[in-house]
Amino acid sequence: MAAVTYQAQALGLGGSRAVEASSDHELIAGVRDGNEDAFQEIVRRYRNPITNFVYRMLDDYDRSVELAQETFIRVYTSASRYQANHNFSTYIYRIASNLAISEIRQRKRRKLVSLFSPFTNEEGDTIELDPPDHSSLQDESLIQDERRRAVTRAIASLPQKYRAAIVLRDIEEMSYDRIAQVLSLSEGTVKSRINRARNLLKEKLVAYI
Amino acid sequence: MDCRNIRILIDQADKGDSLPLEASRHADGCPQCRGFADERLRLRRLLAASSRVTAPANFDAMLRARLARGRSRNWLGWFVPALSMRGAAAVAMLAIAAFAVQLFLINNKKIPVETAVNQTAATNAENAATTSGDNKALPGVEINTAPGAAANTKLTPIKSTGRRGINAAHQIQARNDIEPIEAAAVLLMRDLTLDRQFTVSAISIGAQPIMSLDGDSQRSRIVRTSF
Repeated sequence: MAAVTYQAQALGLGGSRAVEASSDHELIAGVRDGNEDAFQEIVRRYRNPITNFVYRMLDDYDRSVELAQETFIRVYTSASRYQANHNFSTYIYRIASNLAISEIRQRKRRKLVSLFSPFTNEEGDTIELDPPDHSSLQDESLIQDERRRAVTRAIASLPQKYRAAIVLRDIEEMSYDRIAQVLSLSEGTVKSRINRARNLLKEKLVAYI
Repeated sequence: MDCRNIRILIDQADKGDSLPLEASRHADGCPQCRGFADERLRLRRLLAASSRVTAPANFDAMLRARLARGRSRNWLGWFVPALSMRGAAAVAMLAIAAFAVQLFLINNKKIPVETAVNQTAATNAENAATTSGDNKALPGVEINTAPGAAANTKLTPIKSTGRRGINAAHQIQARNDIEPIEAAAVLLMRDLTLDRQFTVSAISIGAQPIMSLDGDSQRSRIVRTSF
């Protein structure tokens, strides 16, 4: 902790090189001390992964950018309460995950009837109807685009609780224990959800695997 | 280890292409598990290869603007409550104002003593009491409403000691030694009878005595109290 404080003081005096070389914990200590450069560096490090993560959860780019910004605002405003018990990345992904899940729930409440989600699984979660497309495609770039769209659609159609776990695991490539920390779940539950998510994705993406 | 457990190991492997030794050995001799491992590997590669979106170029500028807006709002935040709280406060103020106006009207209204109990109200009360079937079960206070005979009847305010309304109504006593009035009822509020006299009306505030009118003897009695 003393090292962190020392580095934070150094951040206040030092230039951009000191900021870039600092660890996440040192940066958040700098933010707590009012160092704008430290916050800027945190934003630079995490803006793309957080935006991508939220986008995978929502399949809505504009809203994802807004929620990614909201994530950084919360980091900034609650910097004084941050405790370095876990990785900072776990902390910031947890904020983003909570925001994304909250957004999904709000959308679910607003959505009255969807022609694409008339089914539910055995746990009562809505499952969107996304039948596999077996039609052939001519051009390689078209195939790539179609594959990306299919993956995005397939992930977006997963039940929310499976979606967060599979995105963190197979797209953000987090370990099981970190996913468990981000989602505040046990590791066993995370493994189970990822397994179910993969089984669902396998059915939806059968034409591409 | 059976195929089911091997597949769990395959599914939970850190990398799809580097299976745990036990799973790898099993898969070499089990075509189903080998197929499962290959399928999982292709799926994981497909997901990992899906394009990643990036933040827009003006992300930092937008974020700074939002933070600046947040700072300017913060120092006034305690003063500007949420919309729902403002709505609730407005409703509460309206309710208090309506109550105050009604209380003011009640306290300042000089009600002339009327010569007879409002027959319509009494009849309505009679109907209500008859419908509920309990008018005979309650020993009411009798008030003589016949012209001339009712001249010496007065209802005396008495504090209720039991269940609100009914007991208070039972305790109302007719007194013949005070200045004459012809008909009155007592308004009950919060277990207290107020020191005022009202004509019986169909609608009142708080507790309201329901009168039963006897057509033959021209006498009425309180059969119950409604709220």
